[in-house]
Amino acid sequence: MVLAPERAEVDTPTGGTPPEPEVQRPGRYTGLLAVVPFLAALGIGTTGAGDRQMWNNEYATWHAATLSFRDLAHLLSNTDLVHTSYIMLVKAWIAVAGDSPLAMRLPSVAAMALAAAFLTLIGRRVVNTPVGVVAGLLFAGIPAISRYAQEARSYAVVTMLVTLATLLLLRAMERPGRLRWVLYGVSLVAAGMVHFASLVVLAAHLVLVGRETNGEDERRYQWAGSVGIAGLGVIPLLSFASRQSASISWIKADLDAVRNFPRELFLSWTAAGVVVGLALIGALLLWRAHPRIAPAVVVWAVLPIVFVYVTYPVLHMFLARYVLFTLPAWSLLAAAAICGLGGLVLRGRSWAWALGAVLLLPAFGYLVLPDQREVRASPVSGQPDYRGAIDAIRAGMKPGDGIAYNDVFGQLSDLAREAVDYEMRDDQRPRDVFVAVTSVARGSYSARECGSPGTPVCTAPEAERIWLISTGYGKDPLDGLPPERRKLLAAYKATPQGSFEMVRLVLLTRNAPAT
Amino acid sequence: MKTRHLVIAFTIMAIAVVEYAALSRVNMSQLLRSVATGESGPVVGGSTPGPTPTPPYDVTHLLDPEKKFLGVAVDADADDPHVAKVEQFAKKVGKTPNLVPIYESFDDAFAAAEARQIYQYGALPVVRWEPFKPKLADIAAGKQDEYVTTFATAVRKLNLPIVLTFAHEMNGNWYPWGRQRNKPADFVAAWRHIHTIFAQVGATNVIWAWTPNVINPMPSVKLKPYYPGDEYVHWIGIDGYYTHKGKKTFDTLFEPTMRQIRGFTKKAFLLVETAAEPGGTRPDQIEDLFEGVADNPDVLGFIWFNINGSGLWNIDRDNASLRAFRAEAKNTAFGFRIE
Repeated sequence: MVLAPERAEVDTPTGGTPPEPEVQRPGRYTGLLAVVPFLAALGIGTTGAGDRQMWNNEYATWHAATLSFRDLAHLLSNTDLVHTSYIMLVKAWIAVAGDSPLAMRLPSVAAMALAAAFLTLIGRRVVNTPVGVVAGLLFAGIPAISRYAQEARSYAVVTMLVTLATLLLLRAMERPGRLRWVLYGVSLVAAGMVHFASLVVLAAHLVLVGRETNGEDERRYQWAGSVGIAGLGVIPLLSFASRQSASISWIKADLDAVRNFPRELFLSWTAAGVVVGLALIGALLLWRAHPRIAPAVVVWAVLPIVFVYVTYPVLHMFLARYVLFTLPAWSLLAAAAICGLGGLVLRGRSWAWALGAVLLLPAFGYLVLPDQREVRASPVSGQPDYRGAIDAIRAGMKPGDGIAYNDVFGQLSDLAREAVDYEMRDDQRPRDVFVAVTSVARGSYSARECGSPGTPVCTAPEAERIWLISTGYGKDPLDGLPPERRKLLAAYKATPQGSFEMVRLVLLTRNAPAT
Repeated sequence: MKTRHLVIAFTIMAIAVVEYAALSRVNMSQLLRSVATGESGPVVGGSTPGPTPTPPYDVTHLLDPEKKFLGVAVDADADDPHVAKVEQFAKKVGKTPNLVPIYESFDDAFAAAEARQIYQYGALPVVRWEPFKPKLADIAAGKQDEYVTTFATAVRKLNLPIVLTFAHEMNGNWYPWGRQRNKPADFVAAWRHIHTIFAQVGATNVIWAWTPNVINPMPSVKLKPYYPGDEYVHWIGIDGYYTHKGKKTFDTLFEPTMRQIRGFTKKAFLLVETAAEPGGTRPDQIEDLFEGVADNPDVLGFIWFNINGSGLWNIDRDNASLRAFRAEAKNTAFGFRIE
């Protein structure tokens, strides 16, 4: 049978001796084949990684990572304490690699490539090497994996850590030893520290351990002990971060959200349909061939999604990217189907798996090509093209220019200002005419403008020319500005400087005083 | 399951519980904030710069709240913090006070810890700054500048809202800073000077409450010469007590003073010290006080002076008064949490 393990399973001896481990030991050097999906994911991840402009969440990462430690402490005292681990990682990385979009995304690209490699190794242990390699390649081809490989946020790192933790569990189950359990525990702590939701994978681990062992097996208690001690390492973050209210009340869990969830998870209806469809078949095939391990993989794929849906009223975490770490499991199940189907057609041939792989993998890659292009589109779909506007400013700027924002789209997130802070980080910047308190001084991601409660009233700007970035929806680019500011800007003549996706750029030049 | 498994499981759970409990006591946000703004001493060239400073707490939303303030002055000292006593009073009267005075002499350090406790309790600290020793003229001349600057810096560092009254009841003659030894011009100059130092240090988290005594004992002493000016004052505080010998109704006790003050400013009133002498009429006077404050939109609220001093104002053992207070405090117009 194509999904047969590479070594024969050991018979349980009779008598009082504990059963030998049933987890398969694959061939020694076949693990090196994990390099293939690694390189595939690396290649796919790097393609176009630096081209897409940064957006909201990535600006936030850059903002936090480039603060001094004191200012960072201030920011974390107000918000985003849960992201401390990832911010520190990026901080260290930026110091070495710089803060261009490509540099900031490289850690995520590397993490996804590693995830593909770890997935291959998992597949190799759970089923056999061909399934592992196919799973890794399939995983690398999913558009969502590309998207979050090219995102300067923690999702890729989380996916990698969850996959790593599962792999380390399998290794510890195969040959229990203190070092292996310690490594497993450490990987759990790391995953939990980077994102809490990743710990839902423990349900899958529980199923794995439960089905692999019986009540007498020491490994059960070794697992429980590792998880317990790992929990001790995660408690501090839980305790501190639970005080900060979750700023995620915009997440919805209505019918629309549920219907679009597969598309959000895979970032492609095609990929979702193909992978989920194949996964269903693969789950059945796997259950027949490996009844001990199949439930764990299914739980890994399904439970986190159900969990975030069911706990939505309390946790508000029903967002596809929070459960991105289920994609390795989906890929594994689908790979089982791909290889297994080949086996069904060419019964008994050991290379039958290749039939499925050679036919279906390239077809999959071809089918998701449009979606792959879409996830690399700049700007991110639905986001304003701030970079386009800012490039225009840079081209036409003169010393003494000012800049003002009518960021109706960005609102409280102060997106336009963050975008200028990032895109013009190495340039001479026009003077911000309406800012009262900077975001850094406030310990927040957004600044306070004049005329808000607690800040002085706006005064007439000194600049002769002011660039206005407007993401308002009205006909007039100044629509949406508070009335006192509009009055102050009435002394200027507006010259449109270009229309970009959802952004209008206007140059305001001061009217010559009446003689 | 073997015994050692149980032992290990319980040990892990016990550690987890202790760890969580211990860490719950740590307010990480405050810790990070104090790291961010705390140890930034004078920046010497070359040393790591302090953090970009936090903006001061914005008191604007407290200046004209929708509900009335209800405060209580309690007897506290180093061993007996305010909040515990305030909470006892709150239990007796069924409402949480949201103004708590802290009496400080002009050589005391700013009671930041007390103020913070009071704020965390949900109330606004009212610092009653009393220049027992230095002369008002000296303060105005700058002789107390070092002390005032240190105090103001501590207030800024706390970065929580406080109400500040300086040299209250200055129109009386029973305090060293009273009219018997100081001219109104001295008072005004001292007030403005202190205000300027606070502004220089950036301590704008202060609500300035100029607090004369009711004019009834000395009706010929005019208040306008003592007024520093609208730019130096947020609230008009008034101290006035219901006494056996003096006025016994809200209107007769407070109206004349308020009318005179309305002649030179439109700022809102706060009864910073008020209470009633013991007796059969006290419960009625408590009712009268509550009604007077509730009916007058110009009055922000009052603080009940629950300390026996110049009179037996404390009502902790006066059940009739407590009942009246309790019944009146039920009015939802009184009391709100300070954030």
